[in-house]
Amino acid sequence: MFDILLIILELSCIHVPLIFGAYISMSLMKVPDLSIEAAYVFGALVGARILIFCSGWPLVISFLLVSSMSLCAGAFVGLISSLLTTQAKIPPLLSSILTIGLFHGINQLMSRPSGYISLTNSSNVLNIFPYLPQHPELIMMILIALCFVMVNYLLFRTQLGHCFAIYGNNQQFFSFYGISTSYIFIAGIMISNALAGYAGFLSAQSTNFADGMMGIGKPLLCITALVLGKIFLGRYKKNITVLVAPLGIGCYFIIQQMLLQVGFNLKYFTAVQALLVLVVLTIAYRKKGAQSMNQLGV
Amino acid sequence: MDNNYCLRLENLSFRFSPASPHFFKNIEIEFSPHKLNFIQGKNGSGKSTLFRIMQGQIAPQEEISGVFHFNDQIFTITNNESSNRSFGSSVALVHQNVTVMIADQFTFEQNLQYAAMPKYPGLSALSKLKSLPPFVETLGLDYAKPVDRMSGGQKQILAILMALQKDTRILLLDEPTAALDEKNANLIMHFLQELAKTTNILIIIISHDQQLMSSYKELSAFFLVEEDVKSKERRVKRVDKELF
Repeated sequence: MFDILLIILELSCIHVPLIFGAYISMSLMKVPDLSIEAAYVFGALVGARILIFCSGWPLVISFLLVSSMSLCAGAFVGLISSLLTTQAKIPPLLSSILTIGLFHGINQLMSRPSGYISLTNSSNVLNIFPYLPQHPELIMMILIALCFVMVNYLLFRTQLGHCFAIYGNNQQFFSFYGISTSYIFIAGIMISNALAGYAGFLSAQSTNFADGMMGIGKPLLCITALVLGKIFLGRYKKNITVLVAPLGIGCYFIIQQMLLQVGFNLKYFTAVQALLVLVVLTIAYRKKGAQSMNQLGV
Repeated sequence: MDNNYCLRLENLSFRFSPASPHFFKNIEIEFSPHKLNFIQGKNGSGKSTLFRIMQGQIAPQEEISGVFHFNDQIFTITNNESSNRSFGSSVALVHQNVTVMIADQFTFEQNLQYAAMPKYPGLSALSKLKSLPPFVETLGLDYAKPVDRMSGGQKQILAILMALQKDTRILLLDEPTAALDEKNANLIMHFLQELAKTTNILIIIISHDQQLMSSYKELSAFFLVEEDVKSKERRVKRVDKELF
């Protein structure tokens, strides 16, 4: 039982940045940003390449370098996707699909020749605190997850954080007050994708490998976690909605592990997620109308 | 109170392209401070074009010339974007449909703070609420109330206050009472009259509601934009006496 709890905790911590990214783009800004899938993979592959490059370096320096590079890699994916929308005037859904296609090729190139990057021979940069008696990697992941909760809590209280929520409420708003709508969109999608890229690196470090297919199903995972998080926090005040992401992903993996324990084959779990989201959205729509889909968060 | 806050448009000429005939030719208008300046005219007469010119929104193919006098300053209006922008930066337009101007899931106070944000919002906290004209306190507005639970008149007041958050000196309103019932229309007109009386903000309103305008004629100036049948040019004349 304790082992299962540790697995749930580790998987949740790995995915917390990804869910925060999805929370910004999909929930606050209400943009169907599927490019988080490409950012997740690109962040993982860039992180893995840098990890191999940094072999033998002090762990703290490697950790900081890999962290910043995986964040930048994700942000780069977001930049491409958002520029396609703001400059080429391609609708967000289509631009994110095009970005996935574009980065699928880049990711294949990066994972040559074997199709994946193995990290078994590289040092684990999450072992910064090796003197901890047990689970030093997990403790580091928990610290990172807490760090992301705090950073996002602060971000949602800034002008930029509020703008993400305004964007989801009324995109035309900014043009009346001399605020750059393109800047808000690009900043939001870049931050969202940067967080996804970082989650990719955490996942690669945890599993000791990264490949071009590791992002498949991540958008649905994000939506499911956000829906679960909103169910749990829906009745509470807006100022704690920063907990939607960590609680949502925690619930997600609790459900997943419970199903696994009762012998459920996880290859059907995607269908369960889709059904869950479908049921929740249908009930919410019937109860309160389309407005119930809106999530403010700040 | 400073009476220099009148706006004088001198020798204003405008056409949609160098090849097209003049839409406005050497027109002169003087809008008065501390009054409600109403502009009337048929559809297509040029009221909205006049507002667009005052905002400095001139398309590249359009041709414009003229001089604007405002607050002891002279603005030479040409196709040069920067000169138009410097005047346009003190002008704010409140649309007929104010729902596009507000984030209705947020509170009255938050909307005011959002309107004051810079062009590129950063990681700093929202700025404190700018002091509102004193008479706003008497309206009994609940600043903590989400805007989607407010009446149409209250939303209109919010949109006007939001437009004033960025050093606005000239306030343009496009049919502010068109979508409101009589009670809310009077609330807005009373609000605008107080705003004109107690501040140096110049208020110009496009309106077709003769009955409403007549109720506020004591402290108002009336202008008519009309088409000259022969030349097809638009003229603007003051019609205070002819109207009522």
